[in-house]
Amino acid sequence: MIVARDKEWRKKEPSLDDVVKKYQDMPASWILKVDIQRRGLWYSPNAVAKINPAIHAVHQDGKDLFRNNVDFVPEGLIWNDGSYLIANFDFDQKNPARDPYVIDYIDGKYVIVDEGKIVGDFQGYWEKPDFYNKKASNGQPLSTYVQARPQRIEVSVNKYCHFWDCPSEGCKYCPLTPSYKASGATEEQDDIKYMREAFAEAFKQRGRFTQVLLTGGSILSGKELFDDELESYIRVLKMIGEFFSGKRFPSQLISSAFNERQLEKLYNETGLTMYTTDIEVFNREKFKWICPGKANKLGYDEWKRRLIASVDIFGKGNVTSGAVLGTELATPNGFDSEDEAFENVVEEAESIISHGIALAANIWRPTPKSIFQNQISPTLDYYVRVYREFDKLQRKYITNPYNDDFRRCGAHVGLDLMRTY
Amino acid sequence: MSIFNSELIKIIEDKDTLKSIATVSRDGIPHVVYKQSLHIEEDMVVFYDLIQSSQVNKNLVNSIWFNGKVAISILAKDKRNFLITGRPVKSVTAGKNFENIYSKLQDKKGKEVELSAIWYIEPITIREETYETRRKEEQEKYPYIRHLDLI
Repeated sequence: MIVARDKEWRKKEPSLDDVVKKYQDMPASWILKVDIQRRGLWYSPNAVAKINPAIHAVHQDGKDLFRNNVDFVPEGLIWNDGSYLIANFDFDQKNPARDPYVIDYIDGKYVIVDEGKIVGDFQGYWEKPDFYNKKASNGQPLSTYVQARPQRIEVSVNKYCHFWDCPSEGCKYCPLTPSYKASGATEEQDDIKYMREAFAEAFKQRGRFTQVLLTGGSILSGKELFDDELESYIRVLKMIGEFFSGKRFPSQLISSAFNERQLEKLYNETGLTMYTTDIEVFNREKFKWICPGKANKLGYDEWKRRLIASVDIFGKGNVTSGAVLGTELATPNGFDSEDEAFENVVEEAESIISHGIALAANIWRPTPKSIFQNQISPTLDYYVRVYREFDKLQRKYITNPYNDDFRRCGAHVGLDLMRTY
Repeated sequence: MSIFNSELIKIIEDKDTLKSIATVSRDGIPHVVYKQSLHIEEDMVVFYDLIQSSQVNKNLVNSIWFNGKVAISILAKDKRNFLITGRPVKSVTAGKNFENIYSKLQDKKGKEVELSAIWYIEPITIREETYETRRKEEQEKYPYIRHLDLI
């Protein structure tokens, strides 16, 4: 059993019940998803007994550098409304800031339990795709090269982020590169030959995938900043494009902020339909502190300008931006209060959403191995309040509700709310 | 004991029966659509939504989020009709069952056919709405709500 380091934490913030009652225009089942991401989750023996690695996608290969433990947890859960919740995220399992929720299996139902009380139920664990049972021509499992969510196939092209070349310049919330270093890995990129073998096998499965996602760490080298990163994505996108008869195929790239020349090259030379570059933190000063490498090499204003400029190339509705929501309240340089953070974040968010860019904001969990690992994330009330405001803005500016939506990702729950647009 | 009797199940599964579902949007606007894939599975009304951007899909999501209800109208070829009220409890959007239905639909209707979700509706009430049945019910229950020339 995992117990919070602060036994009194429940007395210091609004409970799930309080927040559900306060925001009656927000779905209670969705609020629970937000809180699971914030607090983490664990599994009862009954729930563990229901995990079947022959059927379910479980964390077993240690390739996902966002989770340090190889412990066979399910990669994700399927909610009753058909949306997905990623469950392989890392949180401090020894001394978490708050008690995690517990997954149990009672009377034929998967349930979520808190303090012994059932607070919700869900359909089950994510199923693994057929290609996870197959191997590449070098004998390695195909899942080494390409991974899958329930309806998305994805590849992490660059496993190392070069903003960490100077250790003090890595993003303070991110465990990817510290985990990469700790794993002893040396190859930053996999051989495209084996990626191709994985995609060829994956695309045989009818009805499984609706989108291809590429992402990875930043590469700073090249004639211009990020040129080598751009080339690595173009190379993989061209390879994937060979599987489709038309020019474009449903696809998303999450990358560094490319300039207009780079974006045009990306758009013209590949079949990519959707571009994402993460603004990470909705405030210039906090960005400078939290993402020092990005701030020093490019700067907040230029990152944001490039994000907005990408709409002219990919089209309104085909650009999103991610953030690690809540880091703006990290200590010691974050906002002093949730009210102050809310005002600043919403104002800045509108300046982005108003260009037709939806915000794929993730919930910050102070993750082991990240610089922020011992911090405490904001209250549930803060997250729901901010997401609610983002949703209002997205409805007002009519961002595309079908890109980066509930059936593609499973992490940034805020965009689930677009399902009734 | 099943809420559906065998006669109603037979009517619902008849290919000549018309089956419609009425939902309400987030803004309270009603919406009715015919769903010939509608059938019964383990006491649940089940149907396939083929278009992710459909209004019925949006409305059902809104209903499952806020405990809203839906109405299902069944019109048999002999003109008997039934009203089922219920609540959406599950939407299947991935997994082997989803993929099997996806393949079957394409094999039957052609490669252009998509599958967005398999929706499961838990029935709350079932009532026959056939005119003759309802007329007799009313006459027995309220014999004097009639025009005088019919008394």
